[in-house]
Amino acid sequence: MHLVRSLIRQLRSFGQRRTVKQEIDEELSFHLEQRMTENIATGMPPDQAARDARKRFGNLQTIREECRATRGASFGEATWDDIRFGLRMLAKSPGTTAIVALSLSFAIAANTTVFSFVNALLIRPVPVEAPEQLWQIWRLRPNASSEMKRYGAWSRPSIAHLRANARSCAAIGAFEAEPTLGTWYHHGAGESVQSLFVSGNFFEVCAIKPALGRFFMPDEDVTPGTHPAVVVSHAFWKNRLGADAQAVGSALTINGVSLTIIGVAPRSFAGVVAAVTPDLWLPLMMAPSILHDPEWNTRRDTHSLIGLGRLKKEVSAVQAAAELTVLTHQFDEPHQEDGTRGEDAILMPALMVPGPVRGYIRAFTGMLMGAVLLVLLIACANTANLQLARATARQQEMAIRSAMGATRTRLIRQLLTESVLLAMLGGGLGLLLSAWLARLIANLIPSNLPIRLAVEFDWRVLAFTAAISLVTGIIFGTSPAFRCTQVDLASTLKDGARGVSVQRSRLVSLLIVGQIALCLVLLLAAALCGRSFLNARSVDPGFVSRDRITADFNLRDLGCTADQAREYCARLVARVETIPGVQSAALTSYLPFGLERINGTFQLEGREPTPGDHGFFFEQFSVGPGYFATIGATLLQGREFTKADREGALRVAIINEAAAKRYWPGENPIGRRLFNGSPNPENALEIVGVVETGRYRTLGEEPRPVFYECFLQGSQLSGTIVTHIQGAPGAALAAVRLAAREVDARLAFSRIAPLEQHVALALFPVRTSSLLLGGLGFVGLVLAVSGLFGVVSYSVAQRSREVGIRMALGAQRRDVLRLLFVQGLKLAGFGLLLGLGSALATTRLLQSLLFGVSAIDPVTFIAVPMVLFGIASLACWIPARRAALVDPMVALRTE
Amino acid sequence: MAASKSELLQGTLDLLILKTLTTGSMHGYGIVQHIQHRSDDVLVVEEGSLYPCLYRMEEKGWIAAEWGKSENNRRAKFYSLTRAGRKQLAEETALWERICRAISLVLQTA
Repeated sequence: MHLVRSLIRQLRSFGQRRTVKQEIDEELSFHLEQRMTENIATGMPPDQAARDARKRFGNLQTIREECRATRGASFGEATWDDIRFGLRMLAKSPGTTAIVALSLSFAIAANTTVFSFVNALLIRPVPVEAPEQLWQIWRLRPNASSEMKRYGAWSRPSIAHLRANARSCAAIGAFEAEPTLGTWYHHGAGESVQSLFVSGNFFEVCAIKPALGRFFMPDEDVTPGTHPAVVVSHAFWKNRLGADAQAVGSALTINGVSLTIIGVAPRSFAGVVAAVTPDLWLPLMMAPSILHDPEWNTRRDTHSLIGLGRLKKEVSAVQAAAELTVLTHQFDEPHQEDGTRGEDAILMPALMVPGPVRGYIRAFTGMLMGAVLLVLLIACANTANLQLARATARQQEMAIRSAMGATRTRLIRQLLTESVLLAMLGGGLGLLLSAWLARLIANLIPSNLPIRLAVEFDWRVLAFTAAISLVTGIIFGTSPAFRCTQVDLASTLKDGARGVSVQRSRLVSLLIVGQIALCLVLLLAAALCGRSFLNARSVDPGFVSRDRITADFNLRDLGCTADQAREYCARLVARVETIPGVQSAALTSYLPFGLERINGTFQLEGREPTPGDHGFFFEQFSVGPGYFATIGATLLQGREFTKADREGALRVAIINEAAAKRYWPGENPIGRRLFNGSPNPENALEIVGVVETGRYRTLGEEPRPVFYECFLQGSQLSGTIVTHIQGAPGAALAAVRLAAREVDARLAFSRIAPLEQHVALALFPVRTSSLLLGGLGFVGLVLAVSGLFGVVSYSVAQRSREVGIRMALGAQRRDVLRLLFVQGLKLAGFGLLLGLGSALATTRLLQSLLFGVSAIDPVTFIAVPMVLFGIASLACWIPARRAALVDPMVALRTE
Repeated sequence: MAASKSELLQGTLDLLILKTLTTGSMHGYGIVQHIQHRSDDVLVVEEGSLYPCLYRMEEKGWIAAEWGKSENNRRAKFYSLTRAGRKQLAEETALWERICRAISLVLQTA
């Protein structure tokens, strides 16, 4: 009962904290005044009256504190006072505060970043109405060998069958598992957009409302090609359409097909699967026209749809799955080749990460989360050490406060408040850092991969950061607070601080050694990757990337014949060559180092393939006249393709030197023939030139044999124009963009960019690894250095009395300095040795990423530890120097 | 010296305050005056120590506080006895008397 009453009083006083403080003061001063008045009435002079009143009253401050404590008016007030005092204390030593806040901010940033990804993938519910009632429908293969193979997507006819006949579901919709990259033609140029084909009732099943306009009607998805409607995403509408209020009803041309925008999705909805954030949603029935594939909807052997459904009331997921299984068997049976049982259907909760992948993602992010939490704990341990150093110096202050009447609880609360403030500061910085980091990671993904990881910082992430900062503050603040207030009043005011237990300091030393070792390993790996990256950039890929522009084109959308296509191609090249500043232009089916690759086996005239092979292997390209000159590849023998090599003339080919050496060693390949298919005359191609060997798929590959056929002798409907320009690329880029339109108004180039940008894709793995490892290494460095700094500061604080005595007994400053310095350096030394050993053992894991530098490259393995040693020395030297500068008398007296 | 005095009177201070308040509601200064006056200036309390005591008793529900105007028209906090306080007073008085009787019994047999 008392507890309840006092709790109520505490809560009430929390709100009126000022009033209670004022009330107490008023009451006590009333008493004093009354006494003073009475004293004056008995004849005392006023100042004596006041003094007497005070004397009779007792210690005003202590009594005031006691009253406040009893009244329970303290909580809110005291906390506010603590915060103000804490901020002042932090401001008094800005250097240490900055170091601590920075190291904490890195650790907290790492945690927040990982959590934001976990949130986006695993925690955040799907942004639809009643997400817990939404289910994903997958195919189930009960006898599959692995988890990934157990689940499959639906073909379009099979899911249509389910939609038509399912009784247990209120509605079944479907969406493509992967988005399609399409070309959006606007303002005379083509731009890549990600589009997703969905069923007509997709948005209805999701039960969301459009931001503008409307969504598809079920009847718009019945007959192919009849309803060219498109729904755009909010991001697309805002960024690419300029948030135009008149967008609904306007036209959008995708892959040459004109569509009408009927609505804009709400801002919170970017799709129902993580990392798939399409710009547009299109009805399934429009796919045949847009993908130029009339049988798209009727094919039984392509499985790419995932079902999405809501169940009828009182129907459980198990019942629904059973019914759908029956329907699936029904559908599959007439077409089963053997009598094997067909696949089943299964319902899974519709979450951002689909069921089959969820387990892997959970394991992976769990591991990541564990790793960054470990980093945070290490940062806490470091900070605790630093705080202990400061606490030891403040013991006298605590003793004085205790003597003046503060209870131990109060003191601990104040110290904890300081720690939490420091942690919150680190947390705030960490949040900013993490926001920047998340954006950086999202941007690392090359734009032509259909993955977009949009990570938002919603309330969950903010709450997580706040909570983790609070807990961090409490963790690293507890030990120093308790130690610091453990005052035996008399002895502390007289004596010096006692040492901490040997066990603890050994643990701390071990921790520091470990941190330095880990930091060294990370930095060495990062340095190796960094050097690989630089080496890779200077590798000769067999062509020149400078002063070249590429532009993709696709004639499929024009619906022309092979002859017309060839004519268009020739005209495109001719038109581009007339642009001022263009030296030459040429065609190719695709560029090396891209995502496409075509290769095949050919038969060689007069040669048998090795037993077991079907033929001779070549990478395949189809290039136009003057390609090698345009792209800067050296022709070693023979000639390039010319305009004379057209359809109907002798079919010609060019090979590279690697092919010549491998398949015609010691001979002249010019004039030889190879066969694209069986060795018949109609499949024959004559070799007319040999070009230098370059690199085609990755920068670190072994020489590959390559075969070039002539673009104008094939039936290519799409490809890339490579243009060799002079001078600044800006004007040329714009002119090239316009060139396509002049050949045909419906034509537009897409992905017009300098060749260098394209080549950057090949550097992606090594670039990313060096960035990531470098980042981790840097974080490790900050932590290790701050830890070392803390350890040395603490031992300095502990031993300052000893230092004073030594100096009073005649030791020189530099002896003292050396004493303290060497202690820290020993730790650093052990750490470096341990790290070097570990690195020698583990960097071989990076071998596949390394390029031009060995996994135990001596230069790196000497330079990096030396730099680290230098930094560690500095971290040891600064606090040691500070201690050695102290006047020995002061050191002896203050402790 | 002051410290030892307040220790002695710690438990009995509650009793004295409660008894004082039976005469009517009073402010802190008045209570001090009353105790000193009634005890013929024998019990000189460190005046300030009264207030934490008053707050403690208010917390326990033995007395109730109210702001009012003092004799010379100043704002002051007046305390009055509650029913629980009366009960507590009776208990503590009985206890005190038993202790007194016990002590005097011991002192008598000399």
